[in-house]
Order: sequence, then C-alpha cells, then structure tokens
Amino acid sequence: MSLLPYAVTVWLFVIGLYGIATSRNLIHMVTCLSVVQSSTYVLLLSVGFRRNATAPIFLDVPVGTRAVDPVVSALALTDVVVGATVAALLLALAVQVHKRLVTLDPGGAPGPAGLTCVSCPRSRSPSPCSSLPPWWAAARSSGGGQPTRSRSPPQPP
Amino acid sequence: MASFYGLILGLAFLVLQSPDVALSQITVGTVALPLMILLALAKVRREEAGRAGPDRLKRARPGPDAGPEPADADQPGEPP
Amino acid sequence: MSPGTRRWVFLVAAAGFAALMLWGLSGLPPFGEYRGPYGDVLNAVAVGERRATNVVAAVTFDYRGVDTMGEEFILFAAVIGTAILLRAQRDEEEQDPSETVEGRSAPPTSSAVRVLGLALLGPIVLFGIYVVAHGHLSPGGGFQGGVVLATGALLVFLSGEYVTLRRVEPADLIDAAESAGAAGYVVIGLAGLLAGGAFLDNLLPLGEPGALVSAGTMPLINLAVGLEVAGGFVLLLTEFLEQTLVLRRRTVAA
Repeated sequence: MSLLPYAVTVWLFVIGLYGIATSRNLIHMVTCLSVVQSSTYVLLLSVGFRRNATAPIFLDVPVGTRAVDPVVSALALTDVVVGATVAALLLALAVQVHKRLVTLDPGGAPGPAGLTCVSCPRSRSPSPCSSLPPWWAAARSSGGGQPTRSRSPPQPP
Repeated sequence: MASFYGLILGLAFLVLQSPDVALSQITVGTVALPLMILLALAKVRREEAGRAGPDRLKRARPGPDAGPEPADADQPGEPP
Repeated sequence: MSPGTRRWVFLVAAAGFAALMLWGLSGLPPFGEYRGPYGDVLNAVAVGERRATNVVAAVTFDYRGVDTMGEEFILFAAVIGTAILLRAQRDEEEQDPSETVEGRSAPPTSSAVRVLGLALLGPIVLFGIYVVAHGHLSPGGGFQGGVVLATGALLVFLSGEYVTLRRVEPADLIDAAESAGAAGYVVIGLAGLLAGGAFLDNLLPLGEPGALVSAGTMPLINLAVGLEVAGGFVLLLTEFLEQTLVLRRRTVAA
C-alpha cells in the first residue's frame, strides 16, 4: 500500500478541481482552492517521510537519530500560512463582487436585482449601465445561462 | 466542517512526523481560515437581507406586543 | 455549452489527468524510504554548524532565509491587498456596532463564554510569545506563534467584546507592528551585508545548542516574522469584522 499517500494527493487535487470547475458560488470556489493547496502539502510531506523515524528536532534526542526530511517540512510550513492569507484576499474580492454585481455566481447569471451597478445613481433605471461591457449587457437581456441563484432573498409571507 | 477538515489534516501532518507543519495547519486551517469564510458569508447574507428591503425584515421579526399573526399566510386553497 | 456537458468534459479530462499523475507519482521512491541526500546531510550538520536544535527552523530562517523573506512579503502584500479591497467605499458609512443590528436580534453572549474567553486570553498570548521565542529550539517559530497571537485577538471578539476591542485596539500600533516585522527581516539581512558577509549572513555569536540565546540571528528573525504574521492576521480579522458589523450602505435617496 505504498501508493496510498500519492493516491490521496491525486484524489484531493481532482476533487478540488471538480469543485472549482462546477462551482456556482465564489466563496465555495475559494474553499475548493484551499483543498487543492492542501493536496500539495500532503505530497510534500509524504515525499520526505521515513519509516520509524522521528521529527528533525534534536532537543531531547541525540544528533544522528533517524529523522525525516527537514527541507520539505520547511517548504510546507510557510506555505500553509501564506496560502491562508491569499485565500483571505480572494474572499475580500468575492465580497466586493457581491456588493457591486449582486451575484456570487462565477457564471455571471443575473442575481435578484439584475446586473446593474447598485451604487450607480441610475440603478433604478430600466436601461443597462453603459459602463458594463456590451457582451455582459447582452447576456443579461437574453437571459444568460443557467439562472441559478446564490441565495434567494426572504420571500414575504 | 471546514474546521474538521483542517483538524484531520493537522493530525495527518503530525503522523507524518512534522510537528511544525501540524502546528501551522491546526491554527490556520481550523481557526483563521474558517473564520474568514464565515465572516465573508455573513457579510454577503447581510447585503442580501438589506437589499430585500428593511421593511421586510421588520415584518419578519414580530415586536414584543404583536397580536395574532396577520392572516395573509397559509391561506387554505392558496397556491404555494 | 450547457453545464451538464461541461461537467462531463471535465470528468473525462480529470480521469485522464488523475491516471497520468498517479503513474508519474508512482515513479518516486516508495513511501517511507527517503533516499535523498540533503535531508541526511542537514540533520547531521545543522546542530553543529548553526547551534539550532530545530533543524526545520534552521532550514527556514538560515539556510534558505531568502525564500522565507519572499514568503513573508507575499503575506504582507496579501494583507495590504485585502485592506485596500475592503476599505469603506464612497457609498458606505461607519456605524457604531453597539447599535441594534437591523432585522436580527442576536442573543447576548452568555457569561460563561465571556469569562472563559477573557480568562484564556492571557495564557494564549503567553503561549504565542513562547512559541515565537523558542522557534529555534522546539517546534514552532515566527509563523506559528504569530497566528497563535492573532487567535488571542479573535478570542476577545468571541467573548462578545468587539466594541471594546475596537475602541481599545490602536489600529496604528497594529500597522506599525506589521511593518516593523516586515522591515526588520530586511534590516537583519542588510546588517549581514554591511558587516562584510552575504545578505542574511548569520553574524551574531552562535552560543550553545539548547540555550534560549543561541543560533545567532535566528531568534531575531523569528521575532520579526512573529510580529508581522500576528499584525497581518489581526488586521485581516478587523477588516472582515468591520465589513460585517460596522459598515452600512448609505441609503440611496429614491
């Protein structure tokens, strides 16, 4: 069963990619990206593993004890913290996208208020905002693709 | 759920004899990252609730001296 | 292309990719038999050369210190980017979160949570400082200790004291701490250059392995990275919390 860690790596990578490719919510996409990143940590640490060996820290064991590879530990260590910070940046982007375009759908389906720039003073007018690119306005007028919604607003009783 | 995945991954790193990486993963993947995801979701939900209209929200939450429920919900024979 | 077709195309491609990747990875040495020379060389040599018992920290901050400087600056840039993205827009205004949240009556935090949260704050900050300071001796270092310190700030929020935190926490101090951490790393590196050696040369006296003051510049670099990571994560936390609790859209006049 020596292929198990590599199989786990491949599985995490593919399942994360599947989540990204078929995602309908930007925040869900960020979580799947974090799963793909974690597959690389598993690969790194399983490359450096050695059976019946201890951690490469020689505070209480004498130098020369069987230890695992310290280099891949060092690579994965900074990667974990920095990856989370970059995910925070992507989450901030998703929040701002939702504020401006009302929808969290990466496919661009119109949200409940339509694809208007909600901070624009003309947001109540029926004509589309002229600062949007023409293909965006055309997609909105033709109904777009799958009309999925990230979350519907509370319906009145 | 995301915290659970971070915890399992941290334990896996510990089994692979890397306590440094396990410490990083447990603090970041169990606490910091799920917190930021939850806060982003809360912000998005608040935006949508605010956009639906403040009057709808006030009606959704009955006041302290609310009488019987207004009879415009669950009318018999009303189409769903 | 409809989403269903897109999904099937992706599954076929992913199956092919998974097969190729597994075939490639099976060419590596079997799991558990690490053969590479660098790990063994470092384990044998690092404690004697650098007097640091944590070989992983020696690799991160000494042998490959420039890589870690790059990673630290990725963190710095990401925090700056988030702060810029989540700044108050023209159509938003700040409201004191102590006013009632519209449409949502959250139950007040229970006393048990408040007491426990505030009682655990001291031990968590102490533990964070311990992890940062002992980075070159036992598992830990600047990155882990910085995140633990930021978790202390999170505990204050969880115990229901965000309003107090916002009044008490000096935002300028957090910014200054983060920038001092990022700049401190470069200053330590430049000190190596000025002393006639290479960038990030370990020029302080190395001491004995196992002592708190050993391994030359490594405790200083740990301190700088810990400051930067803690400041960065607290800044991220306050940005997201402000978005949720404080910023409100200015009502557009109809």
